[in-house]
Amino acid sequence: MKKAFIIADNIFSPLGKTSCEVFENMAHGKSSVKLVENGEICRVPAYLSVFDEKFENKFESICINSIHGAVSESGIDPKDSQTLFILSTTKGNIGVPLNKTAEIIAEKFGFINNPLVISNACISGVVAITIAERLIKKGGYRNIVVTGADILTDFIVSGFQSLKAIGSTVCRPFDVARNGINLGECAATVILSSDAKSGVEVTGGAFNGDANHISGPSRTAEGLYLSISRTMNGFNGLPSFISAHGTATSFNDEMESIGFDRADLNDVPLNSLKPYFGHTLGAAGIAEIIISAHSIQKGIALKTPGYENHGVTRNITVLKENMRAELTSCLKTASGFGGCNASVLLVKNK
Amino acid sequence: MRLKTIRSCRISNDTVEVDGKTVLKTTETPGTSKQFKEIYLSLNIDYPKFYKMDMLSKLAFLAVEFIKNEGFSEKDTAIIMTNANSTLDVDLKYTKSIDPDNYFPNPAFFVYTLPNVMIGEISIRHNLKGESVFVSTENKDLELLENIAKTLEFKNCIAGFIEYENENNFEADIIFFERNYLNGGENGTAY
Repeated sequence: MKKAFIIADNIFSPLGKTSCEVFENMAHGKSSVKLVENGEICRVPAYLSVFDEKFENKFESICINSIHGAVSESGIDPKDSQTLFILSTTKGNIGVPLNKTAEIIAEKFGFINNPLVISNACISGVVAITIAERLIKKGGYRNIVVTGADILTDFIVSGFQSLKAIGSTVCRPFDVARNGINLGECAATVILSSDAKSGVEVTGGAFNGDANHISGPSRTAEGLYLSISRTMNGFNGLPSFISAHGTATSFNDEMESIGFDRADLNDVPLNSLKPYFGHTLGAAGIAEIIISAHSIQKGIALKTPGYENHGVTRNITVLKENMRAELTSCLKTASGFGGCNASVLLVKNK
Repeated sequence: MRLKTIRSCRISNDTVEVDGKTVLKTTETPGTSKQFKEIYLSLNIDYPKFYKMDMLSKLAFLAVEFIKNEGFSEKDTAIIMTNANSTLDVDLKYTKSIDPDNYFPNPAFFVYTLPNVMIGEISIRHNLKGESVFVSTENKDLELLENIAKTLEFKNCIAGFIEYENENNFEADIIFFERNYLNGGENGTAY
């Protein structure tokens, strides 16, 4: 049976222009989240992670930069008929069909197959990786380039502000004093391949709905629990660590604690990466999978900055300090509007 | 059509078709809230949340009402929705609600500015927790639906094209099919 290995990756974000740079900055506790008073992005100042530099056609530019980084590292041929490009985004360029934007990006690299464009709110990236993993295993494609991206605009920031979901500080996931999200812009790319024999493998994932509310998390973490159960089905033991969604809204983090508690994952070390580079929406799942894969390779699970006093009702093990250990697997989870939840398992394969 | 379906529904212009047969001709102007209300009332259901939805979710909701059946499974019915313009109609309504003098626009519009939210509304209505995904596509594309379906875990699946750009460009075209139709099982056709 074919396996889906991560053979190259890139994170193009205000925290760094390569995955290694972003990981190093995180390992040293650096964050790109700061108070932004740029009226084009937010009329009311907010803590965000935004690019300082100007880009022409920003969305396409950051995607192209990220794909270029990963493709050059991998040595794959984008023009090969067994290569697929998947784009994960929540909003892309508002007013432009998402598939048109994907085609513009795809043309730059000469991808032959029509791009697949997935837009599933904040779980888009995890869903895209899971679908890519399944496509690789089915044998239709040898290499799949999965890029997640979103840029911040007045539209998105004002929307989260109207929902009163934006935090008044750098966000503090799972802490008692948490009071909301930091949004961030980013493009992140993973290349999955059936050709590799070792490294970090995406072994499987699942995505399930709450069937409860379109903008509020389930009180029983129904969809997250179902998704985790299906993802972990057949895996022997517990994951080495969890990369949670951890947006630092009151309701999200509480819901996640219920989901992890129901899945008996209370003692598994857990982090949220949102305080480092914000909630990067369509890029979030992919960027956080990349950092988690680097964590596995380097044997360092990152802490959750700002987590001091436990602020959710269930007993879960949120990392207060970076943890050096032999890491062999990671459960990555995400949840989003529409009551959707997703999880995926990364496993080190020597 | 290669994919054999159990049920189908198409809503376009002034017509609702179920399994290929016209079941309703509407009198209100096509693509308006009034027309969608007329279709809703014809269903004789009591679901007041319908009125809070944006046009795209209303259209998806209505189409699924016409094909709902005992096969819907809480954990094993998947949903795949596609369109070209994502949530363009409500994106524009939301943008207009950003009043420069009275900042903080309308969150009731904002929550519908993600195309998977229509899937969320269907999930809530029918208590469906299976796998679901929204995919952007230029045109109605049955082959794409089949290819996506092959990557999801499910017993049966609601899939289709739900577009609401504006009153002049809207359409729902959805199908309901079982997994074994995909895999060339005993009732299979395509594979």
